[in-house]
Amino acid sequence: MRKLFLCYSIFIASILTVEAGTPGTELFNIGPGYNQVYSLYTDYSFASGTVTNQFANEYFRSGFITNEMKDEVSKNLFHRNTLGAEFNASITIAQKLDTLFGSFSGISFIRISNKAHIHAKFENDLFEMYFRGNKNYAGKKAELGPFKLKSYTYQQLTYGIERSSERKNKHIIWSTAVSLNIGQKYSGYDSQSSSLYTAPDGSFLDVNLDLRLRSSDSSQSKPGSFNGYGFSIDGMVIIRDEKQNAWSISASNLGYIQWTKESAEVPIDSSFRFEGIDVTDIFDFSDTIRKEITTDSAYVQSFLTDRRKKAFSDMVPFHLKASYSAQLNPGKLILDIGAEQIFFAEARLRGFTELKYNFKRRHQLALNLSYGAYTFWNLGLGYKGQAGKSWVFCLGTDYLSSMLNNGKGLSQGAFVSLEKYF
Amino acid sequence: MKFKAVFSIFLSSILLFACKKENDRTQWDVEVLGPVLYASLSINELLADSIIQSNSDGSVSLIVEQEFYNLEPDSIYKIPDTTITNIAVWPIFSANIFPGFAFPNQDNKISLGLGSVQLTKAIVSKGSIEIELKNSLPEKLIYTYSIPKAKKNGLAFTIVKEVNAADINGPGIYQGNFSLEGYTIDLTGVNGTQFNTIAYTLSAISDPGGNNFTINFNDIVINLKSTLRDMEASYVKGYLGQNSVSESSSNTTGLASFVRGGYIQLDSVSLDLNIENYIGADAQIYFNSLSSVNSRTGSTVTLTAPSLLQRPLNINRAQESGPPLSPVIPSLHNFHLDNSNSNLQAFVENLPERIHYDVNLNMNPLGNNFSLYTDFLYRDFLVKGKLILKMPFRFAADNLLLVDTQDISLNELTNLDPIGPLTLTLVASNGFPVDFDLQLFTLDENKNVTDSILIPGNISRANVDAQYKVTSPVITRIEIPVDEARKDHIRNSKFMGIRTKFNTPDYAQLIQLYSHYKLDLKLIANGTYYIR
Repeated sequence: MRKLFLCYSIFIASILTVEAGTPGTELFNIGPGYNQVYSLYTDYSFASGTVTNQFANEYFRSGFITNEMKDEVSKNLFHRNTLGAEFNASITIAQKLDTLFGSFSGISFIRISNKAHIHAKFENDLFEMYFRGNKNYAGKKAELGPFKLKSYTYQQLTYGIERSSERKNKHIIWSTAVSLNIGQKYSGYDSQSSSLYTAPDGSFLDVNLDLRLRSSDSSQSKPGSFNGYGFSIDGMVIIRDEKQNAWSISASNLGYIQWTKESAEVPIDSSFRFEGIDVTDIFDFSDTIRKEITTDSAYVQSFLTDRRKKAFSDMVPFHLKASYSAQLNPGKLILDIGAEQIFFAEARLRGFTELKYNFKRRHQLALNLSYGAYTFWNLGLGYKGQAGKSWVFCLGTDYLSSMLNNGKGLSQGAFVSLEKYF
Repeated sequence: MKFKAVFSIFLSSILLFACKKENDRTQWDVEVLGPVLYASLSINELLADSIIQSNSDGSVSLIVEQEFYNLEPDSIYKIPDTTITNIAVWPIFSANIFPGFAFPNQDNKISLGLGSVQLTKAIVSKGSIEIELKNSLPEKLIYTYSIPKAKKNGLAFTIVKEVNAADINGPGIYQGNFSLEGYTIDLTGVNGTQFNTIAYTLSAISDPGGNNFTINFNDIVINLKSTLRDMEASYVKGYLGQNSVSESSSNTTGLASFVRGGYIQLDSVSLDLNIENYIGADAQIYFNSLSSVNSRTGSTVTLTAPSLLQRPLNINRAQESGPPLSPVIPSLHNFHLDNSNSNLQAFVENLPERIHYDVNLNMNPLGNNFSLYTDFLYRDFLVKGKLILKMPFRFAADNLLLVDTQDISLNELTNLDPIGPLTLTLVASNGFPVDFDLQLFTLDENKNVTDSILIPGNISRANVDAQYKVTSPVITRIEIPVDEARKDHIRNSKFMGIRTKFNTPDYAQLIQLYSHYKLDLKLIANGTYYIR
């Protein structure tokens, strides 16, 4: 969503330069002579304070994770670690509404989106245990909680309107939208406290699990599956003064998904000592009984017996953002500064500033600097250009600096959009 | 449309490059340390086919029960297949036979060839009667065959059959087979004074809807052949005769399947021979011999027990109690052997893989003078013989070798691909005052050894006090490197062989085992696991 906003900011600044010659940050700015805009947009991002790009690339692309990759991550581990990843794609159709029986003027839009989001927080011991094994913890207790990981994939159908008005030399733009969320796939792991103690000689493992697993219906998780539904709302207000400096605040995707009763929940609250699979039977000196060793009965099923089908709801990540846009050189050089918080995720407050430079009426370069959310400092770069009279192309990244250092960088991402005005 | 096409290609290209997967799943290696398998072996596991008895002081005794003798009813009596032909002729001058004419009844009997056995009653559990009727007269006849004293649900056995008239091809013939299962048959004949006799009646009338015909002197009126086949009785009563049944055979003890070597010395042994006679007849058993046979060593020890062997043992008759499910009160007989009246200890120390016996059973040694045809026999209640061997588990073992082969389904463990180089450590906590030399083998489908897992496999005995009683277990660690070759052996194995050699300290010194003694085995893995 963050990239969506940046893209739109760049795009709108460009449109204004090209079409209207006035700056602004509204969602749509359909200039004179045009009534419609078709927009296609996609972005992905990964950001963490711990996990490197190289590691994440191998993990998400099902590659091989080497010890060297783990070492780089281990250098970044501290008590509380987070990561977040997103993939979004959308198609938007916006229509200028000049008259509606004379009572309404503005823009309405419909958007179909596909959203995937993963976020997690984890202890350093959990990473070491999961990716290196428990051997280094011989004689020690590994703290595996608190731990949280959520993964959503859902589709959104959005309808919204945007209007503007003048008041006391201020140009006020506001928009609102409501979305129907269609849940496709969900999995969540939440542990407040879990640990694993490995005996010095490995003769036993003391396992303490306080964990809740929740997942949507696993029998149907392909795109188009209906495993839940919910609603989200968006809202945005922009106040622009006569010098075209603008204050804006936006709330994006405040909503939830109610996952169906075919979803599963497995609460695990168990402490046990694992001493191996019991194979006492094979030492019976009898040839008459066929022996079978099954791992299920030994330790897997023992704490998965409370698996239950259950409907549940969960909030989707909600973005709250505020920013100020200053015209350093009106129409040419614009500075945005702002902050963003992602709620219902494991992100911290993110601060950002962005410098936009318009040139040759049809091009804009944007350079941004940010800190926070799931990661630390990042320098980003964006480009927007106009082709012909009605095509606008946008491409960029918030994480250029991290992506240039793949081995140690902690974030990556890109966004791209294409718009056609009619 | 052009717009959509261009953008679709562009978007797809980005997604393909960004998300192309290298494998089906992310892969990495972890170093693991932890328990894999464990087994806790007490005497109950080590001697699974035995019944262990714990005494009040915790010491353990071994009780082995084995049935050794099952009498078959056929060895006392057997009803043979029997055929009777009955022919009756017209006894006088020619006569005109009108429709519905009743020819004189023909009463007859079937005598069962049972030798000295004289039965008065039988309940048939299996068998049938086959009837063949021939009609030589020119009109159809209707025959009625009946066994009045064979009843089922209160009704006598009766069949009515029409047999067609004779023609130019010969007489009319009927053949049929009728089950007698479930019939209770009185075998005392028509007047109730006989035995082994089935009385029957055959009558014939001319077809009531037929024509008159002329019958001449000596014309065959009845031509019947009846055959009893495959007769078995669930119950018989009468006199069971003075049959003598001899049986010379061997029963395996099961020891041969896993005792493959070594010697054992025992403290004391007792043997109870229990005989339960469910037959309603007196009997006399004569044991000619009982031998302990060890083919591995070639050693045979013949039991010397004057109170049991080579003398007649009188077995009293059972009593009928009536209830269908348990109709017999058996007579019980017990013969006890121990160190004081036999060489039983040497008999058992021979570690017999089979026990050979030679025995005679004589029925009704006093004849029929007292029973007066009240002998009975239920097919499902005969004579049972049971050996009960009891011995305190106080012994000395010298290289006693037990071997077993397990057909183990390793379905969930055979995917060894994720296992990298590792070392398995067998940790044995031995609470027995016995040294174990344990070895595990992987075997192919022909049971050829492909690998020896434990080298060496010595598990030291527990610490003992002056009375050879365990004071504390002793822990032994045996490391088992697992490389690719060993993984292949395990992966391809069809069976697992287990060999254990036992040695007690200071052989010949007897060691008492207690129920709390345990051998705990644990397998710990330390190595690389490939996450795939």
